[in-house]
Amino acid sequence: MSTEPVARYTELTEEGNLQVRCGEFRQAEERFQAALEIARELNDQHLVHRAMCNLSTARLSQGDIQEAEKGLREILLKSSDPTIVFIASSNLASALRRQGRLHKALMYAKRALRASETLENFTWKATCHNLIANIYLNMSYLDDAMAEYRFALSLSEKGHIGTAYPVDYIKENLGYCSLLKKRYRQGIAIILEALQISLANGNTRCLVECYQDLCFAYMQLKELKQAEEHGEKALAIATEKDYKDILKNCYYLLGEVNLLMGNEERSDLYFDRLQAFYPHLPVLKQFLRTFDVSNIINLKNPF
Amino acid sequence: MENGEYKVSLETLFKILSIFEMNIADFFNEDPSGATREREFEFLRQYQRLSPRAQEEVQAFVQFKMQGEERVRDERLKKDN
Repeated sequence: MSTEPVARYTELTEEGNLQVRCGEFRQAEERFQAALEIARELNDQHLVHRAMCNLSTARLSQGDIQEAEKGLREILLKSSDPTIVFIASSNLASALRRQGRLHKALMYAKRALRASETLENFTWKATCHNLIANIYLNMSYLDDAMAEYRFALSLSEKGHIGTAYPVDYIKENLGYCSLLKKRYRQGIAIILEALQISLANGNTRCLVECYQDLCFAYMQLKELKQAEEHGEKALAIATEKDYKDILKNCYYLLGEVNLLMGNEERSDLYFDRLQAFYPHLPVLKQFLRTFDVSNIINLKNPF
Repeated sequence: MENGEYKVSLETLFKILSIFEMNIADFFNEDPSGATREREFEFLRQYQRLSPRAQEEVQAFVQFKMQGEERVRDERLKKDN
């Protein structure tokens, strides 16, 4: 561990970035918070902005949207550094996307894209196109989303990123987009590829999304045993890592899968767990037992 | 959304559900004849187990029956007037 403040700041930032890529968001937040304190002690505005942006990334990943959004607009007003403008705009776009403010989100994502054009960083360029694609996916513009995901992948090839981050996420998202277009076999093939990459990269968050989406795909194909197996894997990871959005999706998926399998007791168990998140909505379980909502659901819509 | 072109999250679906909660609660719980309601649930469950093609046929048949009943109602109204 370095004792010199700038070296310690760099070390903490690198550790935090690594934690983000592994899906260990709480640990990442701790590292970035410590880096921010050092930057403030040094009274270095650039390092403060960078640390605030990184902290925002970790908070966003944990679903702490309001906290993640704080200070980003101020940074955009004060900083002209393309790296800072890129991260702040991307995070703001991501925060707005998660609140369902999709047009504003798209505006900031395009600002991030403009900033990335001045940087020779293909990882960031690909990340930015992945973000734009996610916004299109949330808008249900599936063809536009697919085109953006594919472009993001072509950029990662051009930048010789190989299978490193964010290729795992891009492939996973592209696979899910194919599922929404009812191209189930094609989607499954892409997601299985993403699953292998996530395992190799140690990216738990992407891995859990792969399992969740495979559960959905096999459920739609009525290959229910496969669906159940993948759903249970996703649920185990989501429980361990406290990924609440995935947890809710898994309770729904496993409830539905078991209902289709005729396992009413197990289905009730999962729907009851989902119901516990919505005590103000006592009809939820009965509603899901009666209506099949699988064709109107987007598991990646965060709002 | 009703055409399957716009997809929502579970959160949004449940928000919509909470807006209509009273009506849905009526649908699920407050029926004077439990047997009738149970029959309707069973019908829905059976419908969901059908293939998409068979579901379309059921929808077309229901549409056909509804149009027939509408025609009968219209004819009755014409006679009454």
